[in-house]
This record gives sequence, C-alpha cells and structure tokens, in this order.
Amino acid sequence: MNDDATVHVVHVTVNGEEHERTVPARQLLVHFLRDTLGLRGTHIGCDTGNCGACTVIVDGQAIKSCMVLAVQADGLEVETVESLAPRGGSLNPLQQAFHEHHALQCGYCTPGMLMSATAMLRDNPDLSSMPDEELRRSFKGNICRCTGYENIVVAVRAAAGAQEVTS
Amino acid sequence: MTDTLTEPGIGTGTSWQGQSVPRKEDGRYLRGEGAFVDDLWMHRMGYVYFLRSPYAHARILSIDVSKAAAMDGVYATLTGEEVAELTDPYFQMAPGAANGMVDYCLAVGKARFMGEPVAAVLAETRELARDAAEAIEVVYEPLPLIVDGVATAEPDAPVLHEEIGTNVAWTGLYDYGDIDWALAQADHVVRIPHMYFHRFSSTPLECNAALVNWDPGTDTIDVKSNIQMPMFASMYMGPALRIRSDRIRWETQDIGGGFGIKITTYTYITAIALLSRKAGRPAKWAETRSEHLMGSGHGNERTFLDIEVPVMADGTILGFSARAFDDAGAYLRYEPLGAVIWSHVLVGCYRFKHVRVKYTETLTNKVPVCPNRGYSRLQHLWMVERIVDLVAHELGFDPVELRKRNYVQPEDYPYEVPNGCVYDSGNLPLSLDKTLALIDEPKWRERQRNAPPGKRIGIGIGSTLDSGTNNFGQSQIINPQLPFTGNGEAAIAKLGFYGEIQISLGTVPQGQSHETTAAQVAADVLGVSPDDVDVTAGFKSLQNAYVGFSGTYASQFAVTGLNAVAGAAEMLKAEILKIGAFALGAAQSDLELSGGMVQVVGDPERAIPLAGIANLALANVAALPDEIADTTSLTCRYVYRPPFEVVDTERKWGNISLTWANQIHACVVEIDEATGQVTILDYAAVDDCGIRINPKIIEGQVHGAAAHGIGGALHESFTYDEETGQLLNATFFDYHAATSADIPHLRTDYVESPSLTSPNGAKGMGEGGGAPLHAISNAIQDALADTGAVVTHAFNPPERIYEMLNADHAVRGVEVVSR
Amino acid sequence: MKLEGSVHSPLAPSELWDALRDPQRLADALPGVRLVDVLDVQSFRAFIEPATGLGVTPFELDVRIDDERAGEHVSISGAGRSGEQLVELEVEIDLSGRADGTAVEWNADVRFFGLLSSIGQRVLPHIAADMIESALQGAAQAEPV
Repeated sequence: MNDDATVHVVHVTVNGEEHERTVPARQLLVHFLRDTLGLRGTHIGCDTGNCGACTVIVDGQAIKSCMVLAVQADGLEVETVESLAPRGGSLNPLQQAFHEHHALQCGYCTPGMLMSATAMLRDNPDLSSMPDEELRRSFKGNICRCTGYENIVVAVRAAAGAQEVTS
Repeated sequence: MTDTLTEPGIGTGTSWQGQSVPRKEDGRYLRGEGAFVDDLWMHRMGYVYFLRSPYAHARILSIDVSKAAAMDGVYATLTGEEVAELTDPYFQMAPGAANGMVDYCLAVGKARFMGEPVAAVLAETRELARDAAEAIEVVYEPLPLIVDGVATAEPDAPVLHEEIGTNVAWTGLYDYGDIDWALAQADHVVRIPHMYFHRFSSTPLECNAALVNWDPGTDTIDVKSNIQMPMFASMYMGPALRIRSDRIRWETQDIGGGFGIKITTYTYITAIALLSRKAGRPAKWAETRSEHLMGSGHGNERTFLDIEVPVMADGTILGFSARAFDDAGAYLRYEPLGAVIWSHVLVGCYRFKHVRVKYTETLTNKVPVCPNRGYSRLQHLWMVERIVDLVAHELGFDPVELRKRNYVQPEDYPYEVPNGCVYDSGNLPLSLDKTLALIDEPKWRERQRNAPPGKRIGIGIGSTLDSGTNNFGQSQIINPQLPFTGNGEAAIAKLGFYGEIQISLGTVPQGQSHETTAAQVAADVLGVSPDDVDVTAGFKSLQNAYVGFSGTYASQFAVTGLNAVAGAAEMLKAEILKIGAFALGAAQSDLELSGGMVQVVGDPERAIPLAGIANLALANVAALPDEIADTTSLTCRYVYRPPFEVVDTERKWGNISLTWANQIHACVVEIDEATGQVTILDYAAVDDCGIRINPKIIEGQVHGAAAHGIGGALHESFTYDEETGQLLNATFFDYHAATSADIPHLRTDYVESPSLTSPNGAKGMGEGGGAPLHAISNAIQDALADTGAVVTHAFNPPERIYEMLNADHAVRGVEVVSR
Repeated sequence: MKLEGSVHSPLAPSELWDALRDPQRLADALPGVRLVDVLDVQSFRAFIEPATGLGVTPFELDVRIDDERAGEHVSISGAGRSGEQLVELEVEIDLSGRADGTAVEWNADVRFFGLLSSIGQRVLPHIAADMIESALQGAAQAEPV
C-alpha cells in the first residue's frame, strides 16, 4: 500500500519533546499530532481550514494544523494545548480566565481558542488599548458555536490583565 | 411517626441553586483531555467512509465494489442491496401514505438527495477507506428533481418515493376560535402573500462520529457516539436490524455541541454496525465538515402563504390565518413531529384568540431536515413577530406599544392558549422595557434621525418563547396510532463505600453544564458542597437510568433532568436518614444533613458521617434491623414525570409543553446603501426562564442562542441549485458559520418569573427561540421604512437588502384592507 | 452553467472540420488531455487533467457526437467522472466561413455534481469555458495533415 515514494522521515519537536517518525506524505499535521503522537487535545472541525479547532503554534505562529502536512513540520517546534498546563498541575492564567468567565461550554473549540489566544497575547500582552472590534477580528479564524464569543472576549482580556503570558 | 418523602422543590434549603458555581467539567476541556468520539480507539478497528450520491435524484443502476474490496487493507464494503436484505425499513411516524415510506440506512434503488450515502467502506486507515470508495463504480440514471418545497406538492412534480406516490408527507388543519368571523369584524386586515424561513444549521463544531463494535462473541453492539438521543435511536435501530433493542449499548461522553443536529444519525450508525459485523472488527466513523453539511441534516425551512391578520382600530390583533409548507427534504426521520411542535407557540407571546394554519409537510430532493436549535418553533415565532411588526409598520402603531397591548399580560398567567397549551408564567412588558433600556432606545432613535449619508439605521424588537419539556402525546395529533405520550427523565443517586455521593443522569449533554447544575441540586438536598458531588460524565445505557425519551434536546434539562436529580437525591436522603435514625437512636424528624454528616438538630455531638451510613448499608448490613436493611440500598433511581395528559387528537387540543421561557431581544442595525451590508450597532437580550439554577450558565446559553440566531439571520443559509439539486455551500468556505467578527457585544439582563408547573420553578431555556431572526428582520424593516420594501425573508444577506433598497415597490409584499 | 464564446481560425471550414473531428489530433494539440479510447466514429473517451488553483482534478470524460453537418455544425455531449465528482456537458459548435478563415461560435451547458460543484462554483465556469475554447483553439491552429 505505501511505497517508498510516499513516506518520509520527519523530526518534529512537540511541546518540548523531540519525535522522529516515518509519515505518509499525505498525512496532515493534525492527524500526526492526534493519531501518531496520541495528543488528542487538538481537534478537527472542518475540512477547509475555516474553523480553527485545529489551531496550534508552530515556530511561534498560530497556524491551522489541518492545512499543513506533517512533512512540512519537519525540523520545526510545535506547541499544542497540552503544553499550557502540566498534567495534573494548575491551569495557566489564560486557562483559569476561561474557567472563571465561563468561556467554554462543549469544550470542542477550546484548545484552538486557547492556542490562538496564547499566540495573540504573546504579541499583544497589553490589550487595554485594543478596541473590541479588533480583538474580535483577531479570533475570526476560531469558530465557536456555543458561547457566542462574549465570554471568550472577556476571558482573554482578563488573562491579559492578570499577568504576563510566558513564551 | 411516618416519614414521608418530601417533594423536591424550591425551598428545600436552596443555597447552591441560584449561584453561578464555576463549572466542574471545565478542567478536562481546558487541558485538551476531553474524550470526544474521534479521540477513542479500539484494537483492530477500521475506518469508515461513505460513498455519496453526486446526484440529487437518480436511479442506482449498478454498484461494483470489486476493485475496492480487492484493495489490500480494505476490511469490508456495504451497498444498498445488502442493506435491503439485512435490515427492515425504519419505522415511520407519519400516518397514511407516508407511513409506507421505505427508508434504509443506505440508498436502495434510488438516491434522493445529493450527498445521500450509497455505499460504505471499512478499511485499515481513513485515507485508504476514502481511496477505496473512489474505486467503487456506481452507474446512475439521473432523474428529474425538485427542490422547491411548495411546488413539490403539485401533481406534476417528480415523485421521490414511488411506493407512497406523493411528495406530501402530512397535511393538517389547525383551526382555533373563528378566524373568518374575526376577519369580517376587523377594522383592518393586513395581508402578506408570501414569507419564507430558510434552511440553516447550528453546525456543531464537532461533526457526527461513532465507534461501533458488533461483538461477535456476545452479539451485542457497543456504540460510542455523539448522538443526542441514544434511546430514541435504539427504538429505530432495533427493529431495523431485527435485534432486541437492548442489544445496542450506548456510550457518550464529551460531545462538541449538538443543538439538535445530532439526533437523526441513527441511519449512519446502523450502516456502521453492519460493517462492523461483516468484518468482525470495530468500525470508526468521523464525518468531514462537507459531509456534515451535505449529508447530516438541516433545520426546517418553511414557506408561509396567504397570511391574513385581522386588526381592530385600537391595535388589538385578533389572530391570523396562514398556509404553511414545511420542506422536510428527502426522508422524514424525526418528521413529521415538526408539524405539531410549532403549535407549542401557536400565538407566540400574544393574546390572539383566532388562529387557522393549514400545514403541509413536503418532500424534496434535499438532505432530510432534523431538529435545529429552536426546532419548528422559531420559524413560526418569526412569522408571528413579523406579523406584529408589519401591523405596526403599516397601520402606524408604535411597535413597543402595539406589543404591550397584545402581549399576554403578567396577570393573565397561567394563560390558556386557544389550543389548550397553558403558558406558565412571564412578565413580557417588563422584559421588553428592560431590553429597550439595555440598548438605550431613545439614543438610537436620535442617531437614526441623524444617520450619515448613505447609511440607514433601524431598531427592531424580537419577542420569542422557548417551550420546554415536550408532551410526546403531541405525536398523536400527527398520527393517533402512535404509542407515545408524556415525557420524563431519570437519574440515579448513590452513596459510595466511604459516603461519596454520585449522580448519574439519563441526559446526554453537549455543553449544557449538566455536571455542574446537577451537582448544585444534589448538594442542596444532601447538605454538602457541589465539589463533594460526583456527576458521571456522559451517558452509558448499561449504567445510567433512562426512559424512552432520555437525551438532551428540546430545552428541558432544567426541568426534567434537574427534577430527576432532585428526586433521586431526596430518595437517597430519606434512606440516609432512616439508617441514621437507627444509628443515632433518634427520630428521623430530629435529624438533618449538613457538611457530610447526619446529625441531631441542635446536638452536633450526636452525628454520624455519610461514610458510616454507607458502611452500615453496604458492608455491615447484619447490624441493621430487617425492616431497614430490606428497604435501603443507597442506590436510588428516580423518574421525574411531568404532569401531562393524553391529548385530544380530534380537536388538536391539549397542553403539549410544560414550561415557556421567553426572551425579548432588541437590535440596532446600520445598513450601507451602496452595498446592502448590515452592521449590528447594538444588541440586547432579556431572558426569563423562571428560577435560575446557575445564572452564569444560563447567560452563556443566551449568548450562544443569540449568536446562532444572528448567524441565521445574516450569514447562514443553505442554497440548493434548482437545476442540478447541488448544495452550493457544502463547505465552510461558502457556508459562513458566524465568527467573532460577526457577533457583536451582547448586552443581557433577566427577569425571573417562576414556573408554576415545574417543581423547581425553573424552565428549560437552552434553545432560545430564535429571537435574533425576529429582531434583525424587524430592524431591517425599520431601516427601510420609507422605501416601501417589505422584509419577507428570515435570511437577509447584502444582496437581498440591496435589492429591497433598489427595487420598484409598486407591488409590495403587504396589503392593507381597511373598512 | 450556460457558457458561450467564439474563436477565429485561419483554416478554412473544411480543414477545421477535419481537425475537430479527429480526436487524436485534438488530444495531441491540447496540454493535459490524453485520448484513451476511440470507441467508434461517434464516440471516444479522453482523460483530462485540467490544472487549477485547487490542484489537478483528473477527469475521465466520455464524449459522443450527437449530430453533425460536415463543415457547419456539431453537437457534442459528454459525461465525465473524477472519483465522486461528475460532470455532464452539451456543446453546440457552429462554423461559418470567412474571408480569412472560419468563425467558430460555441455554446455549452455544463453541470457538475458532487462536492466539486460547491467548492469550484466560482472557478468552474471559467475553467470549463477555457477548456472548450482551448480545444477549439487547438483545432483551429492544428496543422493540416
């Protein structure tokens, strides 16, 4: 089924851990993270790169992992939602803000939202001068069907006010 | 002294109820540790892919799976021909001809909508399943098609189901009061020839998925899925698969949104089960978004024709008459229940006495409809609210005063509606005043008068109801032969070995925070904090209690689910006190539960912890007297049964819902005349859902329903090509699910009118009632007030608004005949 | 979708006709087109790989000549398949002699079925029109044998 021409060896660092794997050329990064590495926190919500459920941070940039092939991540550093808090440990200030402000209901968009917000807050740690319209526009790549976005906006502002987000 | 079970209700030490307790379920979602179906995996499993019909209507002449089956790693294939041999058609709720509709889990003989599954593949990887499906050769003979939900009822329309010979699935007349008398009496009759509510969907972010294992050893079917009503699915699948319905074991945990769209997927699960059995392997399916949009289900679209509204000189609206065509798509599935459910809100928020609706449910070559947030009611409520708004607009009444004149008044409750429904409570004028205060209506009127050139500002009100807890006796109005009445929900409350409190529910939450609110209710009854109450995540049919209609849908959890929890907790409390009375040598009436202890009131030295109670019943039972040991188990199952009666199907009369929450929305829009673009400048929603168990969670539901409604009003509409029957927006490129850039800041407030019919005074409220659709239509109407344009569509994209601005309105969409 | 266009050929109508009615010559002249099978004088099967911004969607296209008047008119119908996507088309081509060659007028009805009809709805009319024009241009410039 797989001939040599359709697989590649990739080296990807995910959440600080290095991985070497042989992957089919056509495998999406999101499937690599979920199925090959078993990191199920990153979700799939569409097939055209519109919904943002699959958002991860690659080399410091929030990207949609369903629009990237696993082979394209060769040699790069990927951060997923699992990196935000240690297993069994405390939630980070952004996650805590989401919890306090009821910024999630079904939880499916949440990992993508958190990673988009993390990347955004690294570039804009102080949101006090960002108008609401601009803040909402910065999330337009992350669809949520439960919250109406209202509490997400509140939570992200609260997280910005709470403390610096560590890189 | 007899110890009676106290009825669960408000006043039993409410301290956690009413508080915005932070959610218990958040931790796993924030960490990415939720267990959604596609996160699950079973040894030896294969992946399923469905091959779908590209044609909207076509005979299937042949299917050749040989190339696919021969591919290395393909475990099994399935075609309609096999399905017709292995299964029986699904049970149909419709009476008459439509009862004979033949509906299988794959297309048999004919494909009837673009995207209908015609074959399926189970293979080692999801990519191989897809590649193998492409190798299946299907020969189609295209047939004439029909996508117009009204024209399909004409005799010359192509017939979808030859075995029933018609595209009319159900028709009925709802006739209350005397509308002809009212029309003759009225000082004015407002006539609206045509209004249209479109197809759209809440599109939960997680698509449908299932991991099914038909275990060859035990011949049981284990289903891990995200279906919202698993037991309803059992009722369909059991007979279809020719097995006992309890051979299907359901398990759900985390579901990424449902909104009604995850109810009719039993068809896919049936096919997946057949593949699993055929291959002797577990089979996993996770549809793609384009498959979801093409092949899962859309919300109902409804056309209203020949609307007539009698109005008196003082603005009293006597009622209305209309014909309604509801387009169900190619198969019925959950329909035609929608043909009666709209009548929960027959008169909307108003005191109309005379209503006649000639209702027809039709079939077209489009994906079958399924319940969509506000199911069947939001279409009707939109129409009613448009009527009120047009009456104000055409006859020169103030839209606020006209509403207040015609609203059901606070002193009218409990209010009997002409069809026998009894609205429980509300204060609509107060809710309306609060909404207008939130947007500061006078300010916007001023801005409207001084709008900049090229811009128009409009203000619209949307009054709506959210009926909650169905009486399934309503189904007998559709078909008197159906053996469904009443409703109910079940819960179990247990004590663990060390006194741990556990609740499990018959409900299937998809974000509605059941773990938290159930814990609040149980905590109040049992005298602990919600942190001490463990609520099982999700639903397992072998473990959780359930009744026939268990699930999470139809705005009922606060009533059915939470009253079931309260009842189970009260049963557990009674057992605990019985054992405690023995252990402490006291009378039960002298005892209280507090902080995890059973103690004598006023004498805290005489106390026993819950762990001690548990020990006596579960591991130390010889120490108990027989009459206590025989009547306590510390596992208490309770079914909450709402007080419904059988419905009068002749008159189509009876109380078919238990509670009616209401929402009043106000919207300010700005229209750009050059482009027709609508910007929402301000938005407010006031919700009244009775006693609020967790205000923050309720507010979250209001936000979510508002966003869905705004999306439906301005951004989301499924469009089928009339000539080819192709769904033109089958991906999120072209179906624009509302983003954070589309949804404005939502101002909210609340009113609390306790329900008189629900034991805890709460009302179901999650669906919302579609108020944004009403408010935005009305705001656009207001902005176009001087143009002669009439808003007759629930979906108003820029193209339509541009057309309304630039059309010649010599023939208007409304006519007024006055004496 | 209804499409139409016109092409000018330096060839005389009868020469152009010969090129049009020779599937092999047409296929040779067109990039991304491979003639698979000439079933008879009225029908043939071609393999088309139109390259678009969405990638290559290879189609297997069965073409049939429904009606013809040599040197003047041909009616063609086609049915194609690319995995789960289908296409149906009818093309009418009219030739009329000019002093400097032949004026070719064409109109077509092209219908796509399957997910492609949604994803490609904005580009497919142009792609289909381009392909028909290319085929006619190819014939129009074909070297007489």
